[in-house]
Amino acid sequence: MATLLNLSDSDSSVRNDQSLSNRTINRSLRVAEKERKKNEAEDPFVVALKYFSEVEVGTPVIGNDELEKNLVQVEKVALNRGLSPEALSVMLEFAMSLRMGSSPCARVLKCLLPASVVPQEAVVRAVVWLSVGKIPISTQVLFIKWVLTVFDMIDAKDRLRAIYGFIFSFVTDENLCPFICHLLYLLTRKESVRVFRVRKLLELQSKLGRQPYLLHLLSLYKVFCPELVTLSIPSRMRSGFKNHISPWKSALMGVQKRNNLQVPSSISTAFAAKDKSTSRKRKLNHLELPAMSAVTNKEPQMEQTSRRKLVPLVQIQSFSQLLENMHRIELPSQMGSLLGSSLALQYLDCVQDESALLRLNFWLGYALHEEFLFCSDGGANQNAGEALQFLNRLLCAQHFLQEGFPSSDAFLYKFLNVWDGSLLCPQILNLLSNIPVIPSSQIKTLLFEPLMQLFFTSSLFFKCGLIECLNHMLLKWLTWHSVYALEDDLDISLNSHTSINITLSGFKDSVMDLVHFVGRLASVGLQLEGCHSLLLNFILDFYETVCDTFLKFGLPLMVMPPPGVFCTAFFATDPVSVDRLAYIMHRYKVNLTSAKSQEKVTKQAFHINRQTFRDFNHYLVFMVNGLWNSNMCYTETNLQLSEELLEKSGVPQYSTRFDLIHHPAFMSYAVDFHQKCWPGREDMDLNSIKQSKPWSWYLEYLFTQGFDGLKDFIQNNIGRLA
Amino acid sequence: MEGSYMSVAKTPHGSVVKRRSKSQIYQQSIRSCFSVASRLGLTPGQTKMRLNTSRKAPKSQNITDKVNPEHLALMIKTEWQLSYVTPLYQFRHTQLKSYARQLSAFIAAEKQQGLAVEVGAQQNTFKVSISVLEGLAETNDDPETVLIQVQSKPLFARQDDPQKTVWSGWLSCINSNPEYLRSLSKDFTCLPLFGCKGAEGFTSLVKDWLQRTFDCCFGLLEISQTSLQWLAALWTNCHMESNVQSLKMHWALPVVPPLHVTYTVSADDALDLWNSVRKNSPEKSKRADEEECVDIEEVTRFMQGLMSHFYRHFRVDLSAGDLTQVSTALGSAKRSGRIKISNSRYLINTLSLLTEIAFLKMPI
Repeated sequence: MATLLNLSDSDSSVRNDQSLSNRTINRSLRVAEKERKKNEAEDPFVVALKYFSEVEVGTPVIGNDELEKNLVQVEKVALNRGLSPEALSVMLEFAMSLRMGSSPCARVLKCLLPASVVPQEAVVRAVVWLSVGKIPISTQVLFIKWVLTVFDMIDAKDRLRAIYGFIFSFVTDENLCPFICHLLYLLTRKESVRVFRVRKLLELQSKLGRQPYLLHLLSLYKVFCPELVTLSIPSRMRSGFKNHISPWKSALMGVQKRNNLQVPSSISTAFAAKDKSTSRKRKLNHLELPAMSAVTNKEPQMEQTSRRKLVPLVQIQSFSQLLENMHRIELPSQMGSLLGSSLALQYLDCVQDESALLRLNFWLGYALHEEFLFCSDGGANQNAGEALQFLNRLLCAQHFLQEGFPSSDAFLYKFLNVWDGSLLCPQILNLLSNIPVIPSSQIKTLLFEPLMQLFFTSSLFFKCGLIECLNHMLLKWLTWHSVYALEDDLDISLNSHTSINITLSGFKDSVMDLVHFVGRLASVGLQLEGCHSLLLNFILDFYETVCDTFLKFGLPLMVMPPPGVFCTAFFATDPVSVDRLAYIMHRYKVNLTSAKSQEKVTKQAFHINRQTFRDFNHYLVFMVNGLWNSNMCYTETNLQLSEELLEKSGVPQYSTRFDLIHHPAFMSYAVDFHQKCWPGREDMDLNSIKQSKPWSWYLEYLFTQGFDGLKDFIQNNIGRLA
Repeated sequence: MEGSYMSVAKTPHGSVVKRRSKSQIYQQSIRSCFSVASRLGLTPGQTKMRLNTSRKAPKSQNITDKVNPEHLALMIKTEWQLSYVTPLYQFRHTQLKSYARQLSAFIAAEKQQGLAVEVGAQQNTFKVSISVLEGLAETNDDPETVLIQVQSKPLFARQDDPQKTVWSGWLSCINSNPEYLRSLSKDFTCLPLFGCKGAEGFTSLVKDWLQRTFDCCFGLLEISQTSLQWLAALWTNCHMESNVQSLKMHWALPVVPPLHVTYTVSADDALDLWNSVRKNSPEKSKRADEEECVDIEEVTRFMQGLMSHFYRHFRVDLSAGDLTQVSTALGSAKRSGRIKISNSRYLINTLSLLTEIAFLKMPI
């Protein structure tokens, strides 16, 4: 013990206290060492500890001044700085061994305030003394309370767990029982739950009645081994173990504050009352996630030993724990409970257990069907809040996993046929954007027909929302393709053991169908809504995805927007739409050029439809003619505007009306530029910008206004500036 | 590992993730996502199963040689409240004893809140027995029907008083969809039809326990208008073999105040009408010795005949209302999902129709 004392960090603090004197005699190490030893020998605290470690059995207490002096010394240090682990060991050993009888015992216990950690060894020894000595019962209780208070500061718990059975034997003591139960609660592991212990506790329960401490311990047993014991805790009892008023708490906090130690999160570990499964507020609460609980129904053929090693998922609290136990995690009894925990979802994502997925899907499908399709509780209106919360949680899980659940997809296909387009609209559209690629043969009946009806009968905002949703859907499909194609070099046929093969061409068909579908929706939608610029913006968002399918996602597929979209954007009165159209046309060009060059290099069998090139060229020529050459009469195209019609409009020089100066979207810029360029001029002649110098200045001016799309388009398509 | 995970989780969905491991998972999950649906014999999304439009006419079956008469007596002459159940996970017909112990402990613990109960100990308040109703299955794919009974001793009973059954229920699957059953992995047992009678409290406790133990879900099984019509026609058809006495129907008409119509037809008259709407008369098909089939059109014509007869007498068009209940001497069925089967000879037939309805409610 004496050697231990030298290592105690109490001497470092002693040194700190006397740092001044130390500094003055800092001339040589040898001298300092000597001094230190001398100091130590004289330090009353060290002397006191030495006294307690060496005091003889049977030394009288009454009238023992030395004891009093040393005890006061220890109390002073303890309350001030806390006791070092070694000092704790010495004092605990002294108290519990009853070397000087039981009278100083309680007093010693009350001053056992750890400075840093509590050595496990000392606690184990003290527990052993508990059964050997004749410690008065109140002192025994005090000791257990002390262990509970400092539990989080005990440096390791393995030896304590090893004597679980020994500690368990104290539950029969009526006075100790509440505290022993709490201690056992903190120590229990799955392997410590045994039938005979369960029986013992139940026996106690029948003797003592429904004591909360017994119940809490038993409920933990139930978490580990639901096949042995079952119970349901009434809500009024759920508060946990009583936070025993312990004499150390405030003093300990003071010590920790002074030592700048982080206060352990919970001095007395509160009982986590997660088991709320018994609340039955609603009769049909199919939207409530089941509570996560361990499996009762074990595979009978599974061996007892291997079963004992499994860790229920409900016990996993952190990601590191998840990693540690990855190989022996037991899924909960109800898979629906996984939806509420991101840790559990993470696990599900890794294991890819088909039965587990199916269980989750059965539950999810059931909940969605009951709530939105069967409506067996008389309409969903009463619990719109709950439904909203449920869908948000589902979306959260889907975003976390970056994919949808088959049962929610199947539900959506049915629900779209009865949906009014307004119930929980953002959530439903969000779910819809997560559905996986649908084979081209079914996409029409499953998706397009119901969506078309909804689109044409709903408000502008729904139209915008739907286009956005389809844009997200397309993005997800393309992302899936690009990730997947990387692996197998463009061969994306799924393996033969699935009944549905998605080949590359099948995938292209589905994507093409989707793009054409949105094209149709967009053309008609723009007409219906009078070319509303908000809707146009969402549509252009969609085409920004479409024009980059080759370069961004590696899919050799190009679909041009229909004239209904192209013309609306081109003739739009807001410059943003025209600019975005220019950007989209620019990206189309970049994609098509690179596809073409790649086709030449690799001589691969894929090629983009000639018609696509033709359409693109028509659009391009139309745009360049309109914006640049002031010539709208380009005849070889499906965009042909009949001369008579244009003349009928009565607009003079109609062919120049959509160049960069006269285009309604840019007119104001032209005027502004004109004023800046010729500030003195009285009469405005916009045509004067057309001269070569002012024209290039005008372009520069436009580019500085943030029309980057226009800039890219002009620089890449019009030779003069390229 | 943690780092890579976090980055995967945070990747915005639009960008291209060039990570091999994730794409592996992606591939797998796409596969599993397709296969869950496709292995259930359905292309994704097209899960709309429909009620059969044609079925065999029920033949009187003497199942007393197949099924223990005591068991049969338990099933018939009581009114059951029906539910549908999603497939049970890890259900083993060999473990019924252990399930009974768990369930009785569960009930005891729930009934006495705050009292822990040892699983497997003798319960003196509630005893649960779970048993197989052997023979109550039609095809080889059908899992055997399972009967659950909760017995209890009255509070002030004497020691030697016998326990009384306070609640009973069963899980059944008759003439199931074999494709669906085979597509499920062997971890699952499909017993989609659940009937129970007894106190509501016990029903919810037993359902609760089944849900927790086998990860299944329960939903109310309503017997639709069409199914009720089917039952009316099929039961009438049985009059050829055994006396059904009368065909009794309840209609609810949506008028103010609500009008409830009870319409009783004598069985002989109903059978006459039924025979007149049959496409091929039973005599013909008997001669041909082929199995008698009933078509949905025949059922519709039969109901129309009944309704137009009613209209002729009372000037009330029943087709504007809902058929809510059908009963004959063979049994009764209510739209709310209550069924009573009074004659064991037609038990299998009725249960297979109900199994079909339950399958329609399956979420995937």
